[in-house]
Amino acid sequence: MSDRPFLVLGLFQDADKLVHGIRALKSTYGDKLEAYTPYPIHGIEKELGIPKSHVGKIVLALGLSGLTLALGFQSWVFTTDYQIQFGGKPYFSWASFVPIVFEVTVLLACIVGAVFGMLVLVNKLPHYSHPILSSRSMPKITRDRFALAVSVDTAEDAARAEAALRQAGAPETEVVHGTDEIGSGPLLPLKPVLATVIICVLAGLGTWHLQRLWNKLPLISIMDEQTKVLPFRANAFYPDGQSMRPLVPGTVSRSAEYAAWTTPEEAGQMLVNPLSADSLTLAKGRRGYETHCLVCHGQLGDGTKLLSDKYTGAPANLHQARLKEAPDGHLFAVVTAGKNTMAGYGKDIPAADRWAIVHYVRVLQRALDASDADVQAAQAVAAAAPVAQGGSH
Amino acid sequence: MSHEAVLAEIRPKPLVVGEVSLGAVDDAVYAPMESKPPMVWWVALAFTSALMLLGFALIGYTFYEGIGVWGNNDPVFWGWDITNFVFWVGIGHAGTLISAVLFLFRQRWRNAIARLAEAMTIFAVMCAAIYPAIHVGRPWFAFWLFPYPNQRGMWINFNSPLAWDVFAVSTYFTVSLFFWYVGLIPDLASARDRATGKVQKAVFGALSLGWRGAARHWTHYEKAYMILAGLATPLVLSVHSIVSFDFATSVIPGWHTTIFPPYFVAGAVFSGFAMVVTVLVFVRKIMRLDHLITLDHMEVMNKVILTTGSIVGYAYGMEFFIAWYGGVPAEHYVFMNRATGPYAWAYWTMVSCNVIFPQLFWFRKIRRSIVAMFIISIFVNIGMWFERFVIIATSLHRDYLPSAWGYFRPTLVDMGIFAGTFGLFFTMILLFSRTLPVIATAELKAVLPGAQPGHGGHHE
Repeated sequence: MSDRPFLVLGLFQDADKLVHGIRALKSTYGDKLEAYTPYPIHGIEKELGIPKSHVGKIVLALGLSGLTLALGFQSWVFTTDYQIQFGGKPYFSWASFVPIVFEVTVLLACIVGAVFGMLVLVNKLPHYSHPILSSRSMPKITRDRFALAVSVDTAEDAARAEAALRQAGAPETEVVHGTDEIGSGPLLPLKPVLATVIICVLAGLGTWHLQRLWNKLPLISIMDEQTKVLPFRANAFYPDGQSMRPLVPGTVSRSAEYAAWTTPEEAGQMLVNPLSADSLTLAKGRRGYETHCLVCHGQLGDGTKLLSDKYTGAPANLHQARLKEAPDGHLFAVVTAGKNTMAGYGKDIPAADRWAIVHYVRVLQRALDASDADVQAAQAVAAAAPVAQGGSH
Repeated sequence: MSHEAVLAEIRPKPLVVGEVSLGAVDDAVYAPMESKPPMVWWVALAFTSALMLLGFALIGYTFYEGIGVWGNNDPVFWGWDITNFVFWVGIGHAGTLISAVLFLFRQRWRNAIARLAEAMTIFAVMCAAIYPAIHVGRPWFAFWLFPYPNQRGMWINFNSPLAWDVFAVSTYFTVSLFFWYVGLIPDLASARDRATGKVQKAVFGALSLGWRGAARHWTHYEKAYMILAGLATPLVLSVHSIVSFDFATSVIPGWHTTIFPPYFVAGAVFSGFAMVVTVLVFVRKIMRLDHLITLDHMEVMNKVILTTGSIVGYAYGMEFFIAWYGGVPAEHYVFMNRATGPYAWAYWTMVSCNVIFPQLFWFRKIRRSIVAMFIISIFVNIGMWFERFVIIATSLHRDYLPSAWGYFRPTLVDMGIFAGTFGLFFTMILLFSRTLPVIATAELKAVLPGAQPGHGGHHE
């Protein structure tokens, strides 16, 4: 804090004497006069020549921003971003936006406009370093004394101002030293403020980290923990400790098939393909073959697998004479129950689809070994309906 | 009555008793902040904070078990939670009414009681705000009440009165808090300059923002204060109007009435003033402020209670008239059931507390009797709680089909949480009364005789 004289204060005992003092000194000091009082003295601003406050304009601007913001935001949400019908009303139901528009207008006008605008923008507070705050007179001013202050630059100025104030009726005077630069004084609690900011940031980071554990807290399990029965889980309610009940003896699945055969050869003797080889069945069979069989038996059924060489199994070539001669029932049984390393598909593919696949295998067998008559017939069909082949070719 | 007696009756009453100097105001108001609290204060604080902790513990229990521990159930899904919310928000209306509306009407007697009433507003809204937060069941999602961009791609329903409520109550709380703080700044500067301890000096110094009472600052300060009062006036009227929309925009018979907004606002002012009287009766005596908060002040408050109580009584009558005149059988039934059904005891408690007892304030002797006004203010507090309970429980408990009829019974948890909010409220009042000036000294000093320059130095 510098030792330069900054203000000379004359303390008056009541508001009337202060007003007389202002009138006495106004012609000499003009703009350099300021009054410090424990409460607002009405009419003093005219004596000191203080212009009318423009806080009202700030409040108006903020109020209008609040109005625009709230009306615009609600309109945007309900007409553009989030169109939801409420009670059959139009998206832009301005009347029901009014309460929130009003509240936001008042909020911005009051807090940002009147409070922040008046304190910070207009009055330049907080200002902890103003020299008058550490003067002897300050406790008297906030209690019951009325100070008239003259801004001075030099010690001679100060002496002259003190004399003038005494002449105007101030029984007590004080010269205040320093400057009114904001932030230079000892009263700005920089360290505590900084410490608070750091603690807030750390707390924020800590919370952000902890929120991953949030859902795991027993209190906040977001309904993960429930006493209901889930399939394939342990459950203490039943004596056997399982959630699922055993089936009643003799229960039969609605889609169960009854197989009378035990070997493919036997099935070949017993079963007849129930489907006729029409184009729908063949399309179905082709689809089933390409889904389930193709990866091992190959596109053409010749046993060239699409699998990696690490798979050492040798899928059968469906064009070998044994399989060409085998009856449909034989192929059906192999598809159903599997053979060697091949798994059975009885559980995955419905019986009708397996019969369709058998039909399609017959098509492959015949196509790879086609006679001239077959080729001519196929060309005739292709010429009549060029796209009849369809599929992926 | 003689000519002089009439003049004495209508002339403005002095705002303080006897000759009070500017410094003496400070000495009286700041004395509690500068002395050790008496034993009574500690006993009271122990009691209220124990009550508050009980409430918090039961709120914790509610979070753990879910709101099934409350009495709310089909068909009365709004029980004590919303009753207490509306009750506390209503009490919170006196502060801003006193500080804003009476300020605009230049009612200078308000200066002595405004600070305490504003503090009560803030504490009451804190109590009220607990309920919406905890009644949602999963309070850690209470922030879903606010519109913010989220991964769900959803916005809140701006057409819903429940969303308006969130904006109204939070705006009201924020504005009340800052209105209170702005009024406190000059007094905080006084406290800073009086403080002897290092901690007090630092805290009051930081909070007073370096206020130095400059005339240029006062000019802007007064302008801003007037604007705040002007904006807080429609705000205070809007808050309970919007709270009443929670009921009035629904189609429940007994709720769906256009009289609700003004009726709720009058009821809020009524209950708020009653609570202010209840608290002031003690504060002015125990803190030896009865020369600043005078019997005249209390009498004016009782007149406000009489007026708003009569408005509320009119509204009760008008509701019945409209139920009959409107000719809707369901509505007609709800009101007859209210007065004669299973909740008739609650209804008639409400009517006697709110309509009958405040009428005693027509007598000057009763208006000026501390004991009488204390008892009547307690009756009004009880009656206004029952008003909200009656509106909620009686309108809901008999659904459209007799198979869906029920009877609401609160549980011990309901009662404990409600008691806990009283604990919170009075704990805050007790702490406030020893840490901050309970009277706005700068405002009070400004209206003392001779405080303003005038012809001959003194003017009224």
